[in-house]
Amino acid sequence: MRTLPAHDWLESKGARFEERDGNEVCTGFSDLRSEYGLIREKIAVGDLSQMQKYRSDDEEAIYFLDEVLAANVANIRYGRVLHTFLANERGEVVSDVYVASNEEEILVLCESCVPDAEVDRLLLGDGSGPLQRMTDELAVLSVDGPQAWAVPRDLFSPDILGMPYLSVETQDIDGLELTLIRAGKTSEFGYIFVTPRSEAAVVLERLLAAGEPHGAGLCGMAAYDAARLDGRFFNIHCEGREVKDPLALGLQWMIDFEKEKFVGREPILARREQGLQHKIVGVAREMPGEALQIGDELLLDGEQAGPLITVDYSFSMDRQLGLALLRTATAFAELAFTIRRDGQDLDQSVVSVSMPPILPKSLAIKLDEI
Amino acid sequence: MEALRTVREATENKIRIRAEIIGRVKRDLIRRLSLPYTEEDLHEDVSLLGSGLGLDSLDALEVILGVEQEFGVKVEEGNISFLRSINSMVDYLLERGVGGETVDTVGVAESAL
Repeated sequence: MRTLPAHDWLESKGARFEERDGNEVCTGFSDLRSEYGLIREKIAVGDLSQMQKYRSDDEEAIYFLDEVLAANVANIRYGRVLHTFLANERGEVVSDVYVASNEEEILVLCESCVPDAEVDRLLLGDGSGPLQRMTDELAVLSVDGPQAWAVPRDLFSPDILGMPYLSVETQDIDGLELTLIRAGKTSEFGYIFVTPRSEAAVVLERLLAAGEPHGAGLCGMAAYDAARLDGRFFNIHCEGREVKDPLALGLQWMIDFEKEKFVGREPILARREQGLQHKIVGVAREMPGEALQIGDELLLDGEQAGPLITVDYSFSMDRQLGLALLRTATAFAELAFTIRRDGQDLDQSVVSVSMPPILPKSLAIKLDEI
Repeated sequence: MEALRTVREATENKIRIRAEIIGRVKRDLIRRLSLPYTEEDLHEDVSLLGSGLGLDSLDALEVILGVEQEFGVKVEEGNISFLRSINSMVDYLLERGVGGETVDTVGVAESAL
């Protein structure tokens, strides 16, 4: 198992760990509600180093990536970040990907539902391409929350507040050079810090210290998973593990359909041509009743609509929230579904909801007016 | 059987009204913003601001103009929260009587923490 660069430091702070696809992941420190609260109310400091990382200083890397990834990477501008996905030859999503074009360097960060070796195979091939594997050399740390902007502002400069969403720049902390990306998957403000592996614990300490006056705390992936769901961000570890088709997942916005080449293009375009048969829809549990479980079958007026593919607890809604893969004819918000489990109809119902069902605090904060 | 038929008709009617507004919203978005997508490509929950379609503030103004012109709904000044997704736009319109009736939707949770 590939361990996190700051494993010992995280463990000293009470971290719990689990394995996901051969990689160690920090799932949490305290209770889930408190960590979720950091994301939605204050500042959550997290370690996302389970990601696969690649870099290149070869300008050909842009064109190489354009022929591999789903989005139009060739059009990426300097200083900007592109959010897209990596598919395999069958047109199945395997990684949620950021491509950052920073000065003379291209940086690729992948969150995957497959082992490192499969991502390496798709991005490195036989090793003769322009990308260099940096998975074991770099750490990926993050701050997220409505006050998250205070951390880079206090560490670097107030100019950071002018950084657009999905942009990248080089910064340093006491001479330690790092890559700063404004991005996140919680619907609150988010910043990602890419540092050398050996400095992960030092940088985590600095992020916590900078965020402390604003109530920052450590946060694990369990809380991030919950925030991604009610923030309606694609989660490769949840719905991405159950549903492989990017069209059913609603990831068309990550695809340039005009491009002539990317891995998985033909099967994805063939499915698009056939028309969408199923799509994912948010559903919320009606109270009281039995807790929802992944695999529960949803029925609309007695007819099968589709299964529940992920479920979590939304502390903002104070009830269970999930995603179901429904027939397109039934994939609408504001409908009431009953539940069938193991062939038995339950005395429980869910209602499909418009996603995201929450109003993130960050939406009301104007960084240029701070 | 009669009761079930009545329930199904009510569901079908609900779906028909919502689908019609979704189609109008999608067509207006595609036309106004010159989006390189078909209606089917736009998932109803795709984020409009920031991630997803990544609308900037000028795009948002254009979409609000579209809501006012296409649906005759006056948008409160400074209100962009309903632009979180196509579905949230549709909820906003249904709550204001577009589609022939005023509908109470599940609503938005600001915080229960």
